[in-house]
Parts: sequence; C-alpha cells; structure tokens
Amino acid sequence: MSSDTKIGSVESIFLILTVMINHIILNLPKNILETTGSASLLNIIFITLVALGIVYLLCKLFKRFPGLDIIDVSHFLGGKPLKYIIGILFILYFLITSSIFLRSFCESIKLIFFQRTPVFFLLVLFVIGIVYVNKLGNNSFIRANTLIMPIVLISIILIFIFNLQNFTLERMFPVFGKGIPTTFFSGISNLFAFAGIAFLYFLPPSLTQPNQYRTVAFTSVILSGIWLLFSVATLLYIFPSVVTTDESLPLYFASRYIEFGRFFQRLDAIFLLIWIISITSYLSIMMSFSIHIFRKITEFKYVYIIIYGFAIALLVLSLLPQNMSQIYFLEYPVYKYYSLFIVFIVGFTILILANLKHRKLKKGDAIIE
Amino acid sequence: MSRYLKFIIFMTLIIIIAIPFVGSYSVQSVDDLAYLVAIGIDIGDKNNMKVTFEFTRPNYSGEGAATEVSPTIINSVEASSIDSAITLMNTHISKEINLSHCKVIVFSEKFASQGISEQIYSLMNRSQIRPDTNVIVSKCPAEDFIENSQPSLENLVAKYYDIAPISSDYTGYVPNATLGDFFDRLNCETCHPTAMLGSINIDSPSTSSSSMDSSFAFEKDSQITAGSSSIESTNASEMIGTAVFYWDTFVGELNAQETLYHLLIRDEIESCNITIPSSYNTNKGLDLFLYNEKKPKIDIQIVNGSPFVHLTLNLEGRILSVDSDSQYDSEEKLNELSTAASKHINAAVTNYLYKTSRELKTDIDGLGKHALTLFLTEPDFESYDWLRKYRDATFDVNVNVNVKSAFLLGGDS
Repeated sequence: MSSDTKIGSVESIFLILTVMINHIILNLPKNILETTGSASLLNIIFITLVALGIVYLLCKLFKRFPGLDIIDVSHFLGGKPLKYIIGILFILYFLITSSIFLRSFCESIKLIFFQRTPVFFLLVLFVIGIVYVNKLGNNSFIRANTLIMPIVLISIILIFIFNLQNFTLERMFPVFGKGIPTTFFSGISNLFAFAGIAFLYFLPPSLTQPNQYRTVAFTSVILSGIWLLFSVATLLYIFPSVVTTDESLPLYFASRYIEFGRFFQRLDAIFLLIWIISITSYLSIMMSFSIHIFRKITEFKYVYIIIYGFAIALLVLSLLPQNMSQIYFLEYPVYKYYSLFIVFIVGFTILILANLKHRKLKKGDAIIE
Repeated sequence: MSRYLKFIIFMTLIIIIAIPFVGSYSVQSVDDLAYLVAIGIDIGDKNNMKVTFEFTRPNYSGEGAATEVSPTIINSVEASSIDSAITLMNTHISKEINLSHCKVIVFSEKFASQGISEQIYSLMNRSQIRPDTNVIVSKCPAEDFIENSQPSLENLVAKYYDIAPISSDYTGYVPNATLGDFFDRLNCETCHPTAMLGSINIDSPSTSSSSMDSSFAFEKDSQITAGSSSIESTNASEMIGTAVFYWDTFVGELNAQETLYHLLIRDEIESCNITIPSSYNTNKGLDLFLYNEKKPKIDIQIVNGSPFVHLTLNLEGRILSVDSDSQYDSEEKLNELSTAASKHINAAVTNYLYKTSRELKTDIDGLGKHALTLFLTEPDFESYDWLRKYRDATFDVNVNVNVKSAFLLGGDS
C-alpha cells in the first residue's frame, strides 16, 4: 500500500471485510461457537454493537487528524521512537497473523486434496502468488479484491441457503448458551472477529473521499457482523459436533452437505476454489500493508527488495509450527489476544493520548496537518 | 535482466513447483486407484473385525448384453481397525483404495451391538468419504449382505446403492440414514443415532410372515423388518426398518410401520401409505395415501421432573382402496373415515413413542431439541440430562387426519 494509492469507498469496505471473511472461511465461526455455544448469535449481535461503538469512537478520535494514519499520529505523539515501535508492532501483527493463517489454510488443503504433497510446496505456491500480486501494484489487487469479495460473500450466503433443509433451528437454545457472564462479559473477547478494524487505522490518507471515512467504517462493521451471523448460524444450525470434534475448515464441511437432487453433488470443490483466490487476495493485502508501514517508518525506497524480504519472512514464519496443535494454538488464543491487544488497546491508546496531547498543545479544535 | 529472461525464470519456477501436483507424478492417478462402493464390517474370528470391500471392476465396458449387471469384486480381510484393513487390502490388490465413491457402510448386528463410534470417527476422519454415505445395520453378516446385494433393475451396483435409500421418501419403511447424520447424532445431547436395517431374505414367504404378531391380517404388510418380509426376489438383500442406537451401540429395531411413524414425527417423509381397519369389514384394511399437511407440532413440559411431550400430527391424504361398495363421496363419510384414521394412527404413534422411551430408552426422534427452549443456559440443560430423563417421558399424542377424497374413483353413492 504505497502512500500515493487512492482507494474508493466500496474498495475500502471490501478491504476491511476481507479480513473477517477469510477468517470466517478458516475457523472463526468455530472459535466463536467454542466460546459462547448456543448463545453465539446473541453474542455476535452484542459484539457487533460494541464494534460499532468502537468505530464511532475511532472516527471521533481521528477527527483531529484528517489525512493521517496511526503511524503519523504516533509520530505526533511520541516522535520517531514511538513511530518505530507502533510500526513494528503492526508489521509483526500483519506478518505473524498472515503466516499462521497461510500455514493453517495450506494444512487444511493438504488434508483435503494433497495428502502426500509436502506442505512446503503449497506454501511456496501461495507466496509466489502474493509476491506476484504485490509486484503488480496496489491498484491491481485492490480492484481484484473488489471483484472477488462479492463472489466470496455470495458463496457464504449460498452455503447458508442451500443448507436450510439441514437446519435445526432449536439449536439456538438455550438462549444464554454457557451463561450470561460468558455471553456478555468473557464473550466480549469475540471482538477479535472485527480485527479488520486494524485497516481503519491506515485508511485515512488513502481514501479518495476522506469525508467518507465514517461511512466506510460503519458499513464495513455492519456487513462484517451480518456475514459473521450467517456463517455462525450455518454451523450452529447444522452441526452439534463442530466444537467437540475440532473440524478444520468447518464452512467447507457445511458445503459438503449441499446437494441439488442427484445430479449436482460435490459442489464443495467450487467453494474451495473461490476461497483459495480470496485467501491469496487477503494475504496479498496483509503483505501490502506490512510493506507500506515498513517503508513509512524506514523511508526505504527499494520496494522489490522489501517484497522479497517480507515474502521470505512469511514463508519462514509459516514453516515454524511443528504440528497442528501448535497451529491451532497460534491461530486461536494467540491470534485472538494479539488482535485484541493491537487493534483495540494499542491503537486506541495511541489515539486517545494523541488527542489529549493535541488538546494540550492547541487548546482547541484545530487539526493537525 | 530482460523481461524475456524474467518470464522464462518465472515459468520454470512455476513448472518445477507444479510437478508434484500432477497426478502422474504420484500414485494417485485414476488407474492406480481402486474405487470402493461398499464396506462391510463384521466381528472377526482371528482379529477385532472382518472388513469386506466391494469394488467396481476397473475398465468394465459392458461387453455383454445391455442389461447385464456390471460385475463387482468382493474381498475381505481381518484386521484390528478399518485403517489397517484398508492398508492390508491396498497391499493385496496393489492399488490404493479410494473411498470417494463409497455409497454404503454395512455393520453386522453383532458388531454394532458392541459400539461403532470408533469406526464412525475413523471414517469421518477421512476426507474422501462423503457425509451422505448410507449406514446400514445388517441382521446377517455384513459380508453376506454385500454379496447378496445384486441390483435387479440397475446395471451398476453403485447406482443401486445410490437409489435404494430414496424409497424412504415415498414408502417410509426405511430411513435414509447417512454417515454425516450418524456422526452428528453421536455428538448430540438431544438425540440418538439410527441406521437403515438390512438383511438377506432366504426364508419362504409363509415362514417369514407366520412370525408376525398382529391383531389384523392387513397389518402384517407393514409390521415387517428386513429379513422377514414376504418378498420373493432374485435380489436376496433387503432394507426395511430402522436400527436404533443408544449413543454408538445398537439396542433394537423398528419395524416398517414404526419407521414410518418415526419419519412422520421427524418430518422426513414426503408421503406414505397407511392401512387402517375398514369400517365395513374389520378384517379388511383400507389404504390411505397420507402426508404431513404441516410440520409436526411438538411442545414439551417438565412435569415433576419428567418430560411431558405434546405431539400434534396434522396429516392430509386420499383414499387408495376403493371398490364398488365404497361410499366415500359424502362429507359425512369422509369425516367418519378421518376420525377413524386419526384414532388408529394416534394409538399406533403413542405405542411407538412409548417403545422408544420405555423399551429402547433412546430419543431417536430428537424430541429433546424442543426441550432446549425450557432452559436458559447449556449447563442447566446438561444437568437436567435429557437423554436419561426421556426414559420417564409421558406422551400426549394428537393426530388429525383430513381425508379429502379418493383419487380418480370416488365410489358409488
């Protein structure tokens, strides 16, 4: 994501949606069901409202820093040291989460289609794709993402609709699932599902219409909430076993139940093909944001070197886990709490402190350029 | 570096990486695979289990007559688990067994009585096997069942296995029990699994029907189970009735009529024929074509700690049996018939539900899911222990049959 890239409102919404949708494809709904059980739908409505509140605050906090991203704001707050720290934290966040994601998805594909193929080959194929996409430039993959996202969104809705006949609606009861405290207090940790908000920290300088920032933020959170609701409902209504049996790619399992009479069966392969393209797009975007932050904090000019460097880092990090148990650990508790820490604690703290500093310095509502 | 050179390097890299994915690179090309259509599991003599594999014959082009049935190959092996049986069979046939076209998994009754969760989990753990694969419990050895399952109206055995369970939709005499459904019910706190009941029928019709215990002669038609029907056919195997499980253990069976009520309650049947006593001649039966007019209504109350189940079935249908004496064209006669049918089915459904509760002690109808609304949290429901309490359940059944008319012949007035 170079500084001169300009993104439209629709493209920005899909960019933020990409994070959640691809995690939905992987394991997100199962992780939510694991925490809140039959109250998951209630919990999603609750955390969507909380996320909307957070986004409202975010828009308020960014109001005094138009056209600046979180790196610029941290520079304003603590100078270069803080800029480096925040930049590195976000680079690590994007790089680590995408490497865990890549490894987990490749392991799932390996289990389904390529049992005998070393996972390394699958990882390398994705990494080559990501490098190639990043070399093509930001505009190309942002547009490609805008094309692919509606298809992915439709695929999730289709899985919901085609499985209606397999639904047991009573599974949404008992209404409070594992208990009221779990649904509304510890269940608030499911906010990690809205980790796509992280992109909101970097969007202000890139928007073609900066006044649309608020609309982009609210629309993307509302759409994320709706699609999360659909995907969790699909799993909740079909499988009592999804939490107890640790199925990987649970949405893929749901797609295996789809049949159109006796003629059209095994449609899961089509869904998987769509998702593979979507995941390449998602990983390319994550890489692009990492490169953008790196260039911003180091002012390094040679983009290709950074792309290759980050690609190697992505590959090496994704090869580190020894087994699926480690991958699950990194994918769920580590990703969950790291996302909550970076997106909702670090980002917010920086913005709040920057606003306080701004008030102290300017003693008014003047904006920072 | 010129663009041309870059392109060559890029393409070379892609080709090198793509090579391992090409089918001919590995042993996974179609010629090296043996496609299974059925697996049978029996208790072994020398090991834990005897696994029977039914393969389609590779490259069979049907040189014989067009009506000739495609031959299959049936091999058996004794092993400690399904996975080691597959490995042993892979060694024997020198091809890799592929489960992606497996249509049925047959467990012998004796094996199923020992519990089959390990086998179900092992099979579900394999990505090749489909969740819509049917699960059959055979009253005879699974090997015999597979050997005797020869399609008479189909050329391909795979198609026969594929089509056979569909009769469930319009007969209701056998459930379309699938592996995915069985697996989910194994992990369910509100229901128990079922499977299709199969057997081979080698008894003479007179012997098999004499074992029926029924007050009415006409009821013998539907009080049959697999292996005891009066069907005479070149295909000795048959699937009639339901195998009932308590968690993973086979505990009993439902006959054709009970299976039909089971499917009506679960709303998993499009239509069915039910025979009720004729009001003119109690020894004669009157056949009705019935279907659920709307979804069955199930309400559950907890009375003195035990479940009290209110079940309302709203059936609609038409008369199938008419003769020259039939007089079913007046509203009064139709109402009379509807009342008689309601009463008959009401008693039969009540008996069926008490059989599941008191005798089989299993909630195969998934009534427990309707009790979920009575609890606020999952720990509350878990501590209530529905599946244990179901044994003490009381049933209030209300069947409303609305007989509309006969089909083309209304009968004399």
